[in-house]
Amino acid sequence: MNNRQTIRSLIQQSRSWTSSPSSYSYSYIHNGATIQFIRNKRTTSAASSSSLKKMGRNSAESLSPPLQRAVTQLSVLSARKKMPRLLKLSNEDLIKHQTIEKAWMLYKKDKAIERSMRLQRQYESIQDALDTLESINPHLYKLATSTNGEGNGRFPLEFRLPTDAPPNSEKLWPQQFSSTNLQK
Amino acid sequence: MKRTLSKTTATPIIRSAMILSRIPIVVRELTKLESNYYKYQSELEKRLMWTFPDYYYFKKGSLSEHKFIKAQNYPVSKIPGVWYPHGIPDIKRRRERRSKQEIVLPRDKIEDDVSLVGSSGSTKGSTDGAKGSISRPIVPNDLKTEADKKGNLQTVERELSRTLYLLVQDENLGWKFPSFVVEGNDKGLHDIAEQAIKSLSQNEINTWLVSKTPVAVFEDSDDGSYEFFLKSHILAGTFAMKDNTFKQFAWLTKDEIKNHVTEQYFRNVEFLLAN
Amino acid sequence: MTLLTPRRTFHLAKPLRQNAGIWSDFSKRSESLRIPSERIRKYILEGGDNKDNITLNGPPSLKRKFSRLKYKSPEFIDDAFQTSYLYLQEKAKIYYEKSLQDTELSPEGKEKYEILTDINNPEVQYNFQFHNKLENNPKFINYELPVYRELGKKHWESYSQMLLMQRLETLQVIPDTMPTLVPRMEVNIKFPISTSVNKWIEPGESLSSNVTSFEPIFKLQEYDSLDIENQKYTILIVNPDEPDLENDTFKTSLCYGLMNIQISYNDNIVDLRKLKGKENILMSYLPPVPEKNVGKQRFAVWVFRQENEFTELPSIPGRDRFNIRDFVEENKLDPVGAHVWRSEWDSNVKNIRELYGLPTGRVFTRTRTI
Repeated sequence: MNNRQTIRSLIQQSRSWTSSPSSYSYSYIHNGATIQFIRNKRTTSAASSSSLKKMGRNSAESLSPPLQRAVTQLSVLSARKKMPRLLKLSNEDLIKHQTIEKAWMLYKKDKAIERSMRLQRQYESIQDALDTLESINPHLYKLATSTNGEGNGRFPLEFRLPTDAPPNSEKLWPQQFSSTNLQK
Repeated sequence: MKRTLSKTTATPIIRSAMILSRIPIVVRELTKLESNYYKYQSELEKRLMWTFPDYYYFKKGSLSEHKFIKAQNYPVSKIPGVWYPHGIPDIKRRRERRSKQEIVLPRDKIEDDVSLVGSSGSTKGSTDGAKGSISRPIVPNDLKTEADKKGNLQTVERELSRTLYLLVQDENLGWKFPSFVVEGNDKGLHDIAEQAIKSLSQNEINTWLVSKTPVAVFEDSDDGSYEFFLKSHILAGTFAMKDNTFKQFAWLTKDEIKNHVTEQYFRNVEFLLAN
Repeated sequence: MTLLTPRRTFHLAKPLRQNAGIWSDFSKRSESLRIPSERIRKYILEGGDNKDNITLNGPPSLKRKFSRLKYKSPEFIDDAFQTSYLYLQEKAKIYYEKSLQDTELSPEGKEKYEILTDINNPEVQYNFQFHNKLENNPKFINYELPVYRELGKKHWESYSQMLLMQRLETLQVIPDTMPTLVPRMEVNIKFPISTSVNKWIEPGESLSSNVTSFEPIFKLQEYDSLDIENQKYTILIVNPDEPDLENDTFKTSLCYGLMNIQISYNDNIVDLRKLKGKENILMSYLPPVPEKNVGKQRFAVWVFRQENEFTELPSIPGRDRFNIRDFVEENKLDPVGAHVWRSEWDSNVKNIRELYGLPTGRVFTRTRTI
């Protein structure tokens, strides 16, 4: 749907660019044949149009450059002539594929269960710690749970995401740190 | 779970312990199952991918198109009268539709271009460098650092793919996370632990406290003291022991912690640590 | 239980890549858990590049040599399969050991572990997916093993069971004959003696009187684990569409009744010719002979589990005005499966009536004569 709108607007634009009155892009729009034009990706010419055939072969070459560009761009999105053959697996390979997918599913499931159990345990541990703290020292408990509006300060921008390969040895770890520099 | 304390006992000793960690610098190595699965899936994806629309990227008749086409190993299309034992080629847009499409980037051409620029003379001095920087093969740095090879435990530049934790060795208690006695009520647990860690170090270190709330508590049944744990990350700076509060320190992975601390202690902290 | 054929043991001498795993150890496990064809088994477990396969040039399930040559496996499928196989086998080992070690395990618990051990086994999956599940060969699909029963049940539930329930409900077999059904057994019927239609009948199909002229055979596939050697079954075929002119309604008549039927998991075809004699027959078979213009009549097949074996078959007054609900309640029958087909008057009905010595049927018209 979007593609059609785009090409229609592009063709309408091209109307102003193609100055020659003999250009067939006019007739295309007036005849309302734009949709058919879009369906068939043309990288060279729209020779199948009957009105064009009357005009002779030469005029078929003269697709205006912006229109040609739009056609090429749309052809990139189209599956025509670009689809590979359907993947047909033999019985043995189908079983292999199913086994692989099953193992992967179970592997991910195991990891998710392990993770959620650990999180659960950590959460319980936090609750336990806070309950204990409240019972033995309510003041410290208050300090530990109070929020001063901005939470725990900003998230540090110095954190680095893990990468596939380590950086060069001199940049491996920021060895020097000075809090006075940071404040400046 | 609420804990009740009898009113008669004095305020118990509270300790604030810090789990200071260094997050991984490189991503962890994939397991055999993962790497094989990803490899298989990416091959499937390539097999099912649409043909690369080279006419969109290279203008017809241009030099770059010529170079690109020259670099490709296009499949041979069907010739009448030839017997194909492995099936008749099914070629559309210069792609064998029954298998994945191999795209070769015209690499050697880039190299030639660079040497061309170099010989033109204006940037003679940096020619070799420029040539090297573009066409040299990319070799990733070694995952094993100097510290790994020497077995130096006192630096964060080791075990790059694992999370490291700072542990200290106490004269009496052995290896444990650094913990400090809380005295007075004016400072929170997190303040005490953070300041104590920073003052323990010779050099300045940059840390980030995850939360003010403790993540775990141990009750010492011998002296009735409580040890609260807080989590923090080291971001910059080198940790080195300033005084003799503790015997020594080490940056350890979870597996190594298991070998250093007592079994009971490990069981208590195990779930707080990343693999 | 073990269907060990002596020929196969020779092939075991050559070690496989996963020799240590439980899935390749058939000393204690049934032979039905392996792929009988050694070529296919090797192709799956050892990959397409093994020594024996070089001469074959492709997957052995493809019969034509040209198709095998033409065929291309996805790349890295063997590597990914190897690691996945080992991972799944490692997981299965836990269940296998549990099923062996726990002596206090209930039979259901033991069965559950046996299913978990083999449900992801590629050999079991291959045997199940590419062989006939209805007319099963115990060499491939042995329903005595819980894992095949589980797979069979899943397969049945995925289509046939839903189809059956839909037909029973839209044709109002439920509740016109029995109040409802919780399907637990796959019931299939077939009319083997008839000339043209020698196939398993789909529930609700309209059959000609020629097809149904002799009694059907039943295939009662049990998927639940129970004491199958002592379990007896009752089969009833009723026609709830017999016109009842006196009361201006319809009445139910009994077409066929079998009791004390004994089946096993694999050998479960109930054929009158195989039965011992008349002792199972509660009511002999009367073929559908619908009268002209009564419309399509439903013939509902009901299968029940008996509480225990009948030493003497219950006596019933006759075919006519058979109350199936009362009969089921009196004899403590448990409905587990059903089937239905439909019949209509056709030109052959006259011949069937002659064959069974029945009077010529009535012809109904728009105007009532009685």
